[in-house]
Amino acid sequence: MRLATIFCALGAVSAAVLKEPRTGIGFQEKRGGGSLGALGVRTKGPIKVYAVGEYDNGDYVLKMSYGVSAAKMVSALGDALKPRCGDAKMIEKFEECLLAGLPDGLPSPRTHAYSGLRQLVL
Amino acid sequence: MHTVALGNSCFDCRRCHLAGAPKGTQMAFSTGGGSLKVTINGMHTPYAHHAHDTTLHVHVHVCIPLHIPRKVAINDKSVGAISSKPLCEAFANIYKDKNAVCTMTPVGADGEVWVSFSNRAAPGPKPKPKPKPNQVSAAANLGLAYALKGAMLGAAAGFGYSKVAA
Repeated sequence: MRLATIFCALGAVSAAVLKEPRTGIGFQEKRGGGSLGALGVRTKGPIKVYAVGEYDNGDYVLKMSYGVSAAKMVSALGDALKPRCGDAKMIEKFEECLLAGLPDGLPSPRTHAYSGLRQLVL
Repeated sequence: MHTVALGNSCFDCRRCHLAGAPKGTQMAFSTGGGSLKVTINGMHTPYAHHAHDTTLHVHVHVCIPLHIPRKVAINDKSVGAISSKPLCEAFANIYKDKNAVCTMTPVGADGEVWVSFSNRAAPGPKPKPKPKPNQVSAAANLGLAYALKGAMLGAAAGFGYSKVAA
C-alpha cells in the first residue's frame, strides 16, 4: 500500500513526454520554462533524419533519428541559415561552435578502410 | 607485413577523431534572449585503434569496435552561445517560415500519442472475443439439451421411487 502510494506520487511528479508519431521519439512537454508547441520531422527522401520539437520560449530540440556525420549536420543547418541570415561570419561561427561540440561519430570500418585507400591512391 | 596495435589511440590521425551526430543525439538551440545557445546530449562510443604498417609507411585505417562498447554519456554539454539576434531569428525561421525545412504539427493535433507516466494505465486482461451468431445458437442448443436430459432423469428417478414406495 505504501509502495503504491510512493509510485503514484512519483508518477505524478514526473514530466509528461509527447511522442513524435512518425519517429516515435519522445519530447519533454516542459523544458526550461517553456511548453512544447509543435513537432516535426526533417526528412531527406525516405530517410527521417531528425525529429524537432519547438517550445514556446524559443527553444528548438533536435533529436537524431538517423546517424549522420558532423560535417553533414553542420553544413545542413548552415545552408538552411544562409538564405535567412545575411551575416556570413555569424553563420560560420555557429558552424564552428556546433562542429566542436558534437560527439564522436561511428564511421563504419568499411568507410574508414575506403578513406585510407583513397588517401593512398590520391 | 604490418603490426596490429589495439587499444592505442592515434593522435595524429584526424580521421579517427571524426565527429558526428549518431542516432539518439540531441541538440538543443535556445533562440530566446538575443543569443543562440547550443546544448548537446549524446552517447560517445570510443573505438579501439588501429592497424599501422610502419614497414611500408602505409597507414591502414581499420577501426575495430570494442567487444563491449563503452558508451560515455554527454549530458547537456553547453557547446557555446552566439550573441546575434538576426541569427536567432534566422534559426527559428528554419522551422517557421514558408520555406521551412519541415512541417511543424501543433501539439494536440491528430496522430499524436501522449505517453504520460502519471496517466499510464496498467495493461489489463485481454477482452474476450465476441461470439459469432451461430456460436451463440449452438451454445443455447447445448444448454437446452442438458436441461431436457436433467428433467428426464429427474422424472425417471421420481417414477422409480414412487414404484418402490408403493
